[in-house]
Amino acid sequence: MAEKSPGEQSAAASAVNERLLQLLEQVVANQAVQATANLQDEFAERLRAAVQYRDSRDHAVSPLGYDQLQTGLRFVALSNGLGRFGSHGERDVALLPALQLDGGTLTFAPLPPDAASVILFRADGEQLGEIEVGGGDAPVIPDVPDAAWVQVNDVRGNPIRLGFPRRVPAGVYARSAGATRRSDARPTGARAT
Amino acid sequence: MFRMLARLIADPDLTHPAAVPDASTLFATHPIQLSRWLEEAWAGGGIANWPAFGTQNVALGDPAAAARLRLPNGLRDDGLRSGVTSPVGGPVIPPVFGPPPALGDGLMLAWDHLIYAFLLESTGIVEIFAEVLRRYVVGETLDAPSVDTLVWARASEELFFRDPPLFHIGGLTSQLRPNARTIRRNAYWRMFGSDLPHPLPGATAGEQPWKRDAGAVANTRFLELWTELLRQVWMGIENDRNQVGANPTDPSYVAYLCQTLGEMLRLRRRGGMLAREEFSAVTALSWFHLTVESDTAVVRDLRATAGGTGNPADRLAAIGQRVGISPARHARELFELADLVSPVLWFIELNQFSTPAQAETLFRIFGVLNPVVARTMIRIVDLWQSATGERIKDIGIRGAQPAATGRAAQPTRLPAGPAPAPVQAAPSPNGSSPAVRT
Repeated sequence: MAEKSPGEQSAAASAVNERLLQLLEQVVANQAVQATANLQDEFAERLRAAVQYRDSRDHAVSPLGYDQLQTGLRFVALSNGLGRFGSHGERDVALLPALQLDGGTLTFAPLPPDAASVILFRADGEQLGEIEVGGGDAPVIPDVPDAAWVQVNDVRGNPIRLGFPRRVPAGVYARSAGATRRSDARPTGARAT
Repeated sequence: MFRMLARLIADPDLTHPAAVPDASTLFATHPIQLSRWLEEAWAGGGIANWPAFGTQNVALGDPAAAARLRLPNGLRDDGLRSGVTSPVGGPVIPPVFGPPPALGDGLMLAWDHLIYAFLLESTGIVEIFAEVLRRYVVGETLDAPSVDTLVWARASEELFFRDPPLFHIGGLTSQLRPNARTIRRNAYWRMFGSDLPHPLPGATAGEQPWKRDAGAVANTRFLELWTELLRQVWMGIENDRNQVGANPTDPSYVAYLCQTLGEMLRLRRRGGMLAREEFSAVTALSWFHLTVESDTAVVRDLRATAGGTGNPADRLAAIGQRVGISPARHARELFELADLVSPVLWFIELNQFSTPAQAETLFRIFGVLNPVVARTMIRIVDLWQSATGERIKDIGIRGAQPAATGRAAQPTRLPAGPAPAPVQAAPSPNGSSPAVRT
């Protein structure tokens, strides 16, 4: 076997070094990615824990059931209907503003920021449907001429607002400035169940 | 209703809870417009128009009562419409006669429960303002009024001390019952088995025709049951955080009390009885309540101001001094109670606290994010105890330790109340008594 010349040996060594360097760079890069991934996982975990802690501290599970929360909301709505919106600096609001039923189409003013769904009821208490909404949305719901009242739930499913549609005689009421009529049947992301 | 109208003038869609009711514009409105607005408010149906949330609406005795007694649509919304509206540029004085819709039209408004009128009239507010009005119109024993007060005085006299326009819903006085104050006392007696703490002006001692006319049907058990409800609710509030040991709270008993109270009140309303009387009473009292709720022109002219955060009772006491009549000692509590008890009694009448689960909302407060109902009840208990002298909270302390005292937290029987007084039928003024066959 013939001996390699010093120049060839040097070139081979350089190639090996380069390959080793590439491999080393790959290892370092992979470790960095892994480390970054681990770090992100850790961040996510800590964030999740923080959210859980916040929820457990600020939004404890209410000792009242859904029906009882509804009773409380209806009581506040009746108080609002009597012209009372709290006293001694506390503001208790349960009524949705400017809810209009025009030719079977229900038009909302912008909903509260924590609104997540709207449930429509007939006068006899039968549920007409539930629509998913976002906070601040002003949904327009067509084909609900029987809607007697609506209830807005928040992201935790708790009832937070009641609304009584004002039936609009043709041409009498001006449409609320906050509610824009849309041509589509439901607001973006709305889902009837 | 007039306090609601003052709010609607400032906030026509009820979208701004912090809005300050505009009493000045309301008091500047012509009384015929206000009278017609009441007609429109009645036609809205009030509590009878509220959805009963899946159950039958049993308010007003018969939900059709409001619809059957209202002015026909063609009259009410055309030739007899109020014109009390929301002008484009905001309220102005004197108010303009606006095109439809009237303020509140189509909104889910309700008028107060009769208890609101009873508690407010117990302060003596009607007697004080009747004397103020009398002095303004017959002499000059008070300082000269401003034109705003003059307009208020004219509207007050027209709306509440004179027969209303014929065929209007507030027109209760007639040849058969000529005195509006007696009509209100009759309604209080029938619904709550209670009388106002002050005598009827001009009546001879012991003369109480409103009781004689009512017969033996007055709800004389009402106050006993109501006080028992407050005691049981307080017991529930006291023991809400009780995690160890026996808890004397009984939601079933609280619900039973609510159910019994609701049935008792609805019994007096069968077929829509007392609906007009209630509407007339709460509108009259809300007018005078609105008058002292802020430093209105009348309050200023009578030098009875109490500042932006002042109490109506303080203004009433100062006005009473001007005319030599003292309001009830507990007027401060009564003013606040009137606002708080009204929605609670409506809810009781609507059967919304008649199941144990629903009744729990009256006292569950620990861990609840916004316990509005329980918070309301705590305030009512405090004020009721202070206003009446009934020891409501003591029974809660005893009830929490039934074994130590040997006394149960709940009584064996519901409080019976005083025995009904024997009825002495009024003799017929015509003809003669039927002959007694012997």
